[in-house]
Amino acid sequence: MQRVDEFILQDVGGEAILVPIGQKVVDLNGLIALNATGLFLWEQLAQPREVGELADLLCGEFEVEPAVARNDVLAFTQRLREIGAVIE
Amino acid sequence: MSPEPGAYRGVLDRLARAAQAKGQPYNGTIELTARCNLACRMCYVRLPANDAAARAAELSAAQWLEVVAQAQAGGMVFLLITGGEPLLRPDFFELWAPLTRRGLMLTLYTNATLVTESVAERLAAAPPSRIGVTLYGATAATYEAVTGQPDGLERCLAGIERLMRRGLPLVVRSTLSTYNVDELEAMRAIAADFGVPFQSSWYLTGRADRQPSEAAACRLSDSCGLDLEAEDRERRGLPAAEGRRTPPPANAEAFYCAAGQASFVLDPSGAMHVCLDLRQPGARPLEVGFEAAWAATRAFVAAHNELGAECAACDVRAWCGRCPASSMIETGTLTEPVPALCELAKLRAARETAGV
Amino acid sequence: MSDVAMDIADLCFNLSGLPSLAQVGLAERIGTFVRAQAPPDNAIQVRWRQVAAVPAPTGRLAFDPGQIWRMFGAPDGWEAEIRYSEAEPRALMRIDDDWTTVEMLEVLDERASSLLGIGAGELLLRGALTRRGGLVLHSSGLDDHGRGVVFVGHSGAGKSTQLEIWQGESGVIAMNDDRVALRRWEAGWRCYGTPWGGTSDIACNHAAPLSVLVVLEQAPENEIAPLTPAVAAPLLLARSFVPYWDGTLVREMTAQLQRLVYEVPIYRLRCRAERAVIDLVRSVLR
Repeated sequence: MQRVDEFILQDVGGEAILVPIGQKVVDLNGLIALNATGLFLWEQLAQPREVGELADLLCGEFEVEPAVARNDVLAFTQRLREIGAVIE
Repeated sequence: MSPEPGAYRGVLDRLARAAQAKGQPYNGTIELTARCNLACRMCYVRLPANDAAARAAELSAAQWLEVVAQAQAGGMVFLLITGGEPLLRPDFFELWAPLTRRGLMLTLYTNATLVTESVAERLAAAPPSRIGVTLYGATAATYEAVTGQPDGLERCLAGIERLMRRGLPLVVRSTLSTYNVDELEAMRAIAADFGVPFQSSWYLTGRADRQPSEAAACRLSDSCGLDLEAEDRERRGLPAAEGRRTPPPANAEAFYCAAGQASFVLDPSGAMHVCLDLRQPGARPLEVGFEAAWAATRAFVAAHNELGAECAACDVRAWCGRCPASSMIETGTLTEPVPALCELAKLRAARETAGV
Repeated sequence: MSDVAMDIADLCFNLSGLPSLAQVGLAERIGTFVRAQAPPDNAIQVRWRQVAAVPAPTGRLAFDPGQIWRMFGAPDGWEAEIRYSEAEPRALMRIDDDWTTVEMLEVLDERASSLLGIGAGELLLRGALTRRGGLVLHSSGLDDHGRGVVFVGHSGAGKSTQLEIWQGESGVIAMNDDRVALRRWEAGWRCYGTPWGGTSDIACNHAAPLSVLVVLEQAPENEIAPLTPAVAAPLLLARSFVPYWDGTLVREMTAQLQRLVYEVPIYRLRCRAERAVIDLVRSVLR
């Protein structure tokens, strides 16, 4: 999967947020606040990634068990799918 | 009086605090024009729709886009476009459409009376995060009494309907006065029928340019206003005694909101001010650069961030909404107490300490 | 009625149209800055005129700092409207783009003291000096055996206190306790006393080569530490008087401030109000 162009990463006081543009504005009706892992995964999704690949990258960046990383990635990418922020 | 669900509101509050801690101008307001097609008695800003001098002083769409680009580079993420009535600008969409592509959390305030099918269509093609429509009454007679516009309500409701049909995210807002307070429930019902959130505010201030205003004459009585505040808190599931500012001001800082510390306002001529009610210091991003204009605005707040002696010594300060902007409008100074607000604070404090 | 020339920070202002310095309450404030010789050709011409009412500015508002003056744009320069607590404006200064010719229209109050002695004069110096690459800092300054020391800080940071501690020390000349002007010459930076003093109202016509800038912070211990240019620049900017009405001037001034932080040693002084700070500061004086 890969992220779509209709979400713009912004910084408010050091907090990363995703702001939708175009029709995504109406679909989402709000913004997405990213935590550190969310921001890391969003950046990785600039190019096509598989879940396993993202989990490996997450383990390389943060001190986290592989199983936990995989769960985190699944939960995060599921949320991104729901709001149409990634395409397969 | 927030329409957002608690969790989202919490995120917004957190962002505001984070931005303020860093002095990031994350929240901008552009007052596109002070002109309006309505003539509300209590308005703090309105000029006639055909005011040629006011029109001549307004920045062009291209100039605004330049200012916005600079502002975004300087840290702006949230942007409110307001007026006057922004849709009075014939070049509105020259500005609007590019704005919606910039990744801003964009809000538009309008009275919706100028929302034709084609305007609604163009807004749907470039939707904002939120459109706030102001409703001045639930009957044509009341709407006219407030705004001077005989077919105003009809046009406003038609505008809302057109926006709703295109699924645009609306909030209905109302400014309450002696003219329309009896229709509060009916206005709430209109919003509910459309299935959109409803917000209201009641404390009317004078004009920001300090010209004569009918605000005080049509302001609700203190007790009526406080009843509304209590009712609003109840509706939102908040404890009755939360009329105090949160957190209660422990220090002697005069500016207690984000104005001039994380938010700013640009007037129709492109001058930057602390907020819509406080038209200072007025540095112009197009001339001195956004960064310098923001520095000037922050410096203004920092230089005037001390309470006057009377307010500093006041024991109902925690219940008082006075700020340098309200003092400026009513007294022409940044520090003098505003007698009407003193009375209101005393009453609010007395009610809440007695009531709990 | 004759012209009076005064030198402030190596800038000459030629005042014409004034009855006399004493008659408009200026003798004490700027008397020691009066120039003995004839003014040079490049003197800034200030034409003063008493009026019954101040005319309204013609241009649009460019900057309103919230007290004393408001700056308006004009076709070939600026108009500064000046008022204190009065409801009505007390003076209007029409200033050309280069800050070389100024027309000042003033309503004299019952004490007949001109605003040139306070806000109007200070604004004039700040504008003219900034236009010529100088700066005025919210600061106090002294000359310690020919070495200029400037203490920078907001109100209450201890600028006047520093001068009180140093005063009386042999070889020390207190220049000003609230407004010090800086200028950059080929030979280096110089600091200048101005006519406008602070709580102790020390306002001496004296200048010295600038040796060190000291950012003041009140603290329970005594400590002096160097500041890097990156840290010092925003601190100094916040204690400068930035001409926010004029984009060109803002850019010139910030560029000059950048040079300052790279060319002059800057320290942060945390101190109690006691004599020991003299040795502490002298330890970093070149």
